[in-house]
Amino acid sequence: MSILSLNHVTKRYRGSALPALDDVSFSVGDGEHVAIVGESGSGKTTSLNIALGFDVPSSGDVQVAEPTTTGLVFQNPAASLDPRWRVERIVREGVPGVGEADVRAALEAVSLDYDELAQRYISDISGGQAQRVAIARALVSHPTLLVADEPVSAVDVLGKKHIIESLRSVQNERSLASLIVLHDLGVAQQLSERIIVMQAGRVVEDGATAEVLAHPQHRYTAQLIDAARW
Amino acid sequence: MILRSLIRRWDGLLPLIFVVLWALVGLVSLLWTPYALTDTDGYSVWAAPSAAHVLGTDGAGADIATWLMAGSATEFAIVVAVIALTAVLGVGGVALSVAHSARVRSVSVLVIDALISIPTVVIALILAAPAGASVLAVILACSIVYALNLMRVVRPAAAAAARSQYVVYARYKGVSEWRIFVQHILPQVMPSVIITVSHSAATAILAESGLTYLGIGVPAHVASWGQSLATAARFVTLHPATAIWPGLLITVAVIALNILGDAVRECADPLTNPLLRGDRTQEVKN
Repeated sequence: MSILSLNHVTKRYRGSALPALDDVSFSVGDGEHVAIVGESGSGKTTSLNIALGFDVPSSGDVQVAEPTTTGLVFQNPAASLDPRWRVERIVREGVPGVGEADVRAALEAVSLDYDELAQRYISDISGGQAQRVAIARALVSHPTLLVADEPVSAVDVLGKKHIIESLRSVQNERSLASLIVLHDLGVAQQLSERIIVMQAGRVVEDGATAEVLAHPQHRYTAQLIDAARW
Repeated sequence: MILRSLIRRWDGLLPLIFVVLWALVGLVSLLWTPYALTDTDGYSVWAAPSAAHVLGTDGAGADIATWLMAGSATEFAIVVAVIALTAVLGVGGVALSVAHSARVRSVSVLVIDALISIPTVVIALILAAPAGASVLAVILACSIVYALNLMRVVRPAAAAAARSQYVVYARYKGVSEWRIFVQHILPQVMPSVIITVSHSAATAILAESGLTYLGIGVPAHVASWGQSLATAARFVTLHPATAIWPGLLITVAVIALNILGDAVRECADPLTNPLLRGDRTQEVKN
């Protein structure tokens, strides 16, 4: 059963000759882990923005099954977490009834120590820790769908490793689906069971991650795989 | 914690001491002054400092120290009122100029840009015209102009904060627009607000002097530093010493308020004050 689906979505921005999205359709099943990959400008983030309701499609529609709660992780923790808030307050925001135990559990789910970090500001922790705080913030409301936009692209190698481990652990231990935008096929292989390849606003390939990466059907997918090896 | 940080640094402590003394002198003047404001001695005009008149007398034979003491209260009231009104009007305007509603945003930006071109003197004239010169007119004229200036200075940073991803996230989680402004946007622009308001307070003292000199500021029977300076300024070539005291007080107050504003900005911001972050900044990062 799909909990999120985009049906023939096209998005045109004023002044742009080409559509940002051109008849894009895909869905995310209950408990399914899906990655969207493609180069910059391929329409990954636009798809995500439309799926989340941050932007409206020019045509087509988005369907979200009830009840679906969504946890959201942005690309850059330095921009998505308020620099003048402490970690605990960041994680609690916008979720009524969240107590210390919930914040502690959410931080522990991404291997962060509540006692060490809860009263710190984002500027006092590393980029990798900050992105895991962002994931904890997304988890504290117990979402059924975790949506992340390039969650490892703004952190260093060690931070990236910790984030991938945290996301894998969350995917394994929590009953949720995930939709993660990535440009790194290696990360997509670790975090998804299904992969959607986008090029110039279109979905060019959609299938099981292992199968698509082993036997790409589209020339662009093969080019991406080749570029990742290089 | 902010006060503790402030008194640990010279640029916080010294202006703070001046402001506290200023307020105390103003308070004392409400209960006691060496002479009454109306006391004049026709036989002792332009008198040099003496035991009877520690700062001398002016051209009417009035005690300069008495007028400056009483002026401290007026000046302090003006500064406090201008700070409060500028902050309230300015921050309110900033809130409208970065509102989520595009219509509210564009109308408020248009109004701010239109009003900002009007000089303080013109606003003071408009306010003073129906009821005559008054302290209230000075306060309102200064506050309106400085609030518009605050909106102009702070709006770009507030707009950037309003477009930030943590605001997008808060909105996505259903946090109200009011809470978003107070909890996310305002703290980001508070350093600029503090600097602009402290600068406005300092400028208000100068504006009060200027407006009073022009006859549209503090009325003649009300003591203020600007009043004392305006009185002395007419005879500054003959009796320069009488202009020194109000001039010195105004200069020191302006400098103190500007320096204090800068120190408060640093001490009140967790990004620049390690004490507010709980002194844990030096711990090893992951």
